[in-house]
Amino acid sequence: MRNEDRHLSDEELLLASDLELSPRREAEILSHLAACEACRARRDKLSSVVSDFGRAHREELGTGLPSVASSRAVLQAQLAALSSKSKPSGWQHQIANLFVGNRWAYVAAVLLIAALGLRLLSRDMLQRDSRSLAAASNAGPLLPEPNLTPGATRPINATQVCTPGPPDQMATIPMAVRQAVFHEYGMDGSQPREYEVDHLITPELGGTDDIRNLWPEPYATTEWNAHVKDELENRLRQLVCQGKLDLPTAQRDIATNWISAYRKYFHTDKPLSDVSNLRWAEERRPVDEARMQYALLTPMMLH
Amino acid sequence: MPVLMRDSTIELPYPSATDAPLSAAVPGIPIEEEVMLLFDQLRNRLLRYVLSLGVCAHDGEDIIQEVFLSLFRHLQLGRSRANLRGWVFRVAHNLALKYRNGKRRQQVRMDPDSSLVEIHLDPATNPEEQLAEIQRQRRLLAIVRALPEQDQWCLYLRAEGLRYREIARALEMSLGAVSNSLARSIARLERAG
Repeated sequence: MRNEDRHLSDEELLLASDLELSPRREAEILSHLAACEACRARRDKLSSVVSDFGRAHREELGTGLPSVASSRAVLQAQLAALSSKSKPSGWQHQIANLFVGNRWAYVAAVLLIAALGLRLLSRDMLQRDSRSLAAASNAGPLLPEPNLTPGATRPINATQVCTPGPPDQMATIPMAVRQAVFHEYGMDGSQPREYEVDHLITPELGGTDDIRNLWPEPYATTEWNAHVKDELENRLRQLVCQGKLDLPTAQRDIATNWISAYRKYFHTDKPLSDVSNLRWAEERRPVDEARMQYALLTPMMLH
Repeated sequence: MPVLMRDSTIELPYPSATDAPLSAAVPGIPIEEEVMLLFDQLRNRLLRYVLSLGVCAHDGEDIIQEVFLSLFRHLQLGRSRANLRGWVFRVAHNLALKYRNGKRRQQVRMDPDSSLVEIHLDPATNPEEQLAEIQRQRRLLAIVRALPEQDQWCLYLRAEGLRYREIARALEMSLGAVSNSLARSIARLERAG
């Protein structure tokens, strides 16, 4: 539709809005638009129809999008692992440069490095094995590593913590996040069902699903297990809601050392294990297994 | 403890200068940081797009991870940075179809009657106007779902702020085919409005 007397087509108006036409045709269209009110109105109409649809589309799907934080943390961890694998380190470059022009010396150096590497690798494997053994023998981390799991909270106040919310729903921490947690703790070979990938600061006290707030906590291997921590979480929430403890202190105490916090708030050196707690633990276990089964249905992301 | 929550990331609905992907390597910035930059710009848009194609949220999250790992490898190998957003959406599109076709299609779209329950309406409007707006938006969505699949894809990508050139790359179509498809879809939407 190159005739100046005719109106512009919708296709041309659409492409012109993204500057996708040749400079010459674009100049013709601009000149036509300046003179033609009907084409300007049409251009605005096209834009408003797409805009209306986009709003409806975003509002329809936007309400259910999972939080970005966990997804971001998993990607960041995977990229860090890939980068460290793929980049030759500075010292490798420097050694290679030392032997430029001397192939045999270079080969000897590579063999030496390989031997050293094997030795280091075997030591690393031994360490990994001992960690796996520790995990397999149910001596998993009682306390999270502060550098891996310092805790993460969302902005929330005591009133919000104590306002009854909707009934507890099945926590669906994605499998990829669970695996990333096991991976960063060097526990890739562990049995997932023996652990709860638990929030250090429970969501009921404002903790988030961020990987910095998650760690693999053993269920029943020691006296200080996931069920015992759950008792502490309930106790802290109760104290916050009774006005006997402020929320930031509760968050800090559970994040710093939850076992010390348990001793402090229950005034005991050992976990309380009355009949009601045991019954509650028995009831809870199948739910956690159901969660794990649900998570196992998803494709594996980490190898 | 609901894990699904509304993301508060503020997004521009349409292309802007700040949206521009990196068309050349930035000296001193590691590739993984570039990838995270694009992740921050595009994650919600990509996720909405793959959900529109009929994959569930769980698979959608996995697809997003795969997309950005592929982007990392793509940049690491020094491959083309031209039209990087189009490239990213193309990878996501292909993966979403693979996931969708690989298993029984799961119902991810909300029930049409409940889909707009949480829509944010202008509080200044009266209930009749609000009802009319809800009905109008439902009509728009229903019309789009009845369009040929490729027309839907073009419209979803435009709604996520992609330029025509980027849509063309994502769907491996010509620019002319993209503008024809959108003109056709807009005409259908106008008739419903």
